[in-house]
Amino acid sequence: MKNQFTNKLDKKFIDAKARNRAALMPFLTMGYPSQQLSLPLLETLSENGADIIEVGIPYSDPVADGPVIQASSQISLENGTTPEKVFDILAAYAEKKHSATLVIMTYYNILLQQGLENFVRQCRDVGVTGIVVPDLPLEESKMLKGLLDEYQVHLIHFVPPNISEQRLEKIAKQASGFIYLISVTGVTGKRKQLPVNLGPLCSKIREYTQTPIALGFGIGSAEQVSQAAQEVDGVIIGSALIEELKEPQSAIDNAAIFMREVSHYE
Amino acid sequence: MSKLSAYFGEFGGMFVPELLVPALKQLEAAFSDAMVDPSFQDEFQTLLNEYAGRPTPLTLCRNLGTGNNKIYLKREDLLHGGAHKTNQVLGQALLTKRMGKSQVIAETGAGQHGVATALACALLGLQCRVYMGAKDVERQQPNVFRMKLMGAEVIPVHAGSGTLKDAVNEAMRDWSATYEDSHYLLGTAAGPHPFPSLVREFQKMIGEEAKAQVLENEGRLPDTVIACVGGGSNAIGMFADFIDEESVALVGVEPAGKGLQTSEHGAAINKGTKGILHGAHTFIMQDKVGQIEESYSVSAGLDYPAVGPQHAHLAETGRATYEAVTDDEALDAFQALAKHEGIIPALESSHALAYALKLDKEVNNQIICINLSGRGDKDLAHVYNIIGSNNLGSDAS
Repeated sequence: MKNQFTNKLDKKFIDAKARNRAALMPFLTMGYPSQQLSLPLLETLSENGADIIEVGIPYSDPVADGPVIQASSQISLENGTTPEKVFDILAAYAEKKHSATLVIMTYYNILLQQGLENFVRQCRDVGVTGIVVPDLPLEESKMLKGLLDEYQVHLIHFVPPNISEQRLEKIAKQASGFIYLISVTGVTGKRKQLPVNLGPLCSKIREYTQTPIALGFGIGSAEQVSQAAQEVDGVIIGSALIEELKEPQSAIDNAAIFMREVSHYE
Repeated sequence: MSKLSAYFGEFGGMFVPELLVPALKQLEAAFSDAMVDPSFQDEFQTLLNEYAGRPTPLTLCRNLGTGNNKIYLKREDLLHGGAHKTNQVLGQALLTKRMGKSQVIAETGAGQHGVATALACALLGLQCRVYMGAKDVERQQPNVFRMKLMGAEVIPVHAGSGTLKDAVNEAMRDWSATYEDSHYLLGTAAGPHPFPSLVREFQKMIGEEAKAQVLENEGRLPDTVIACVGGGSNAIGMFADFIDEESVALVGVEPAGKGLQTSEHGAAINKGTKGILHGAHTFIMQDKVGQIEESYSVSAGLDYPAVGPQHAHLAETGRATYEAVTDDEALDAFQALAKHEGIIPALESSHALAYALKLDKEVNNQIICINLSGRGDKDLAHVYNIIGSNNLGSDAS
């Protein structure tokens, strides 16, 4: 089952490892703060140190997200953002051959209503290399996983800190692309401290799989990235970046500054 | 392996963040265990009898309707707390203690489930926090006060539309961070597995009692059993014991609000499409790309843009039919029951009643059994504002 295919996402982790760095993965809500800014923001992140960009297709009821990303989704929806418009933006990004590869984050109902295969095909067509679906636990993921394997797009699984050994083993066996390690219980949003038990948890995961581990939920500063990079292969930065993008006039400059800052972690 | 199926045909499932899976599995195990544990059943039954006031009576209408049929009311309005909700909150509160948890999280729309949860928590010594849309907090001050009187913390939710579905989202977020000490006491037979099964099991005494009561009075089963459907907890509680009785027609009544032809209704089965909301695959109200739409009903308890997955399955297989009743029809039925029987029903239950009164005009010699899921005291101010005291609406009977 494992590693039936590799794509640019796997390569990004291999390259980062070769440089002895963690792969940096900022999260960007598409259509926030405006639809016009989404493409230039993606380009800015790619040019300033992002290896992978997690792009959010907004959903009206994002239960796994904290207040910052939730509010950005709501504004994006008010801006009229639809999955179709997001794919247009991603297609434009793909044309310009940027360095950072794209992973989509959205909720399962959005995939279902576009039609699973149609959605997956569109992902492949615009060069998306992975999909993160926060409300799709292992039990419900078979159908999507089958399609994604066919189209060579990774389905990213979550591993929460409270996971049982048995479940970890099952998820690790399925894992491809990367494992999305949740650093703390709760929802997305930056927090002051990283959990202390990161090391043992990573060791446990690595007993079952070679798939890279990326840490998400609660990371917002170069200092935290630096701490995390000692244990994991990639770091996801969500709310802390989104908070910098409130004002359309300064969004691009702020994104560039933020990305440079976190990518120059010690 | 669990004995409970997560699916009803293609409906149901457990579409939740991986983080919540351990909490749901723990709940499923505790629930399966409790259902076969006589001491749990005894304790639940004692609370139902001695605290909540079960069994509730079955009342034959003396004056309402054409007189061509027998119309029975299952009187959940007489239960402590004023509605069927008390049944299942007692069950879940007992489960909370059984899992060794000390805190309860709940969502509430107009406040009815919040009040029910607060009373169960007060009784059983559990800490209780209730998420309630900020708009609803404004509109429903008496219920906010009731919850606070019984020791619950009420947390206004400003996100999204500031109504019930946003309160559910927020409660789920809280639960993801706190489930080691907290139980999420979901208010209806919807949401992720095992909630639809669990809530049904803690409500099915409604139908069991009604069935026995009709049999005793009439020596036969009813022809039609009717209940209103929002998320669908009172209806599934009423239907469950009749599902295998094929001679009994089951009718769920959805809120048609200002009319099914408008966008202001809450009829997820009649007008919705298949999709996922709050962890379950079911009929939901959504736009064509999958964003959830706002529902509407004069009755807050039916104002929800999805329906429990077992109802979706009963509808899909044709075992139950789902009708829709407008605000105006429900308001007429509300007044008719008050005027002719001296019972003021909840606006939710008035939907079931309104459909029963339509049916009564079309059939003869039938036994019609309606779940009168709650009493209408909570709705008086609202109804007063709509119809006024001097302008009582048309007589539905």
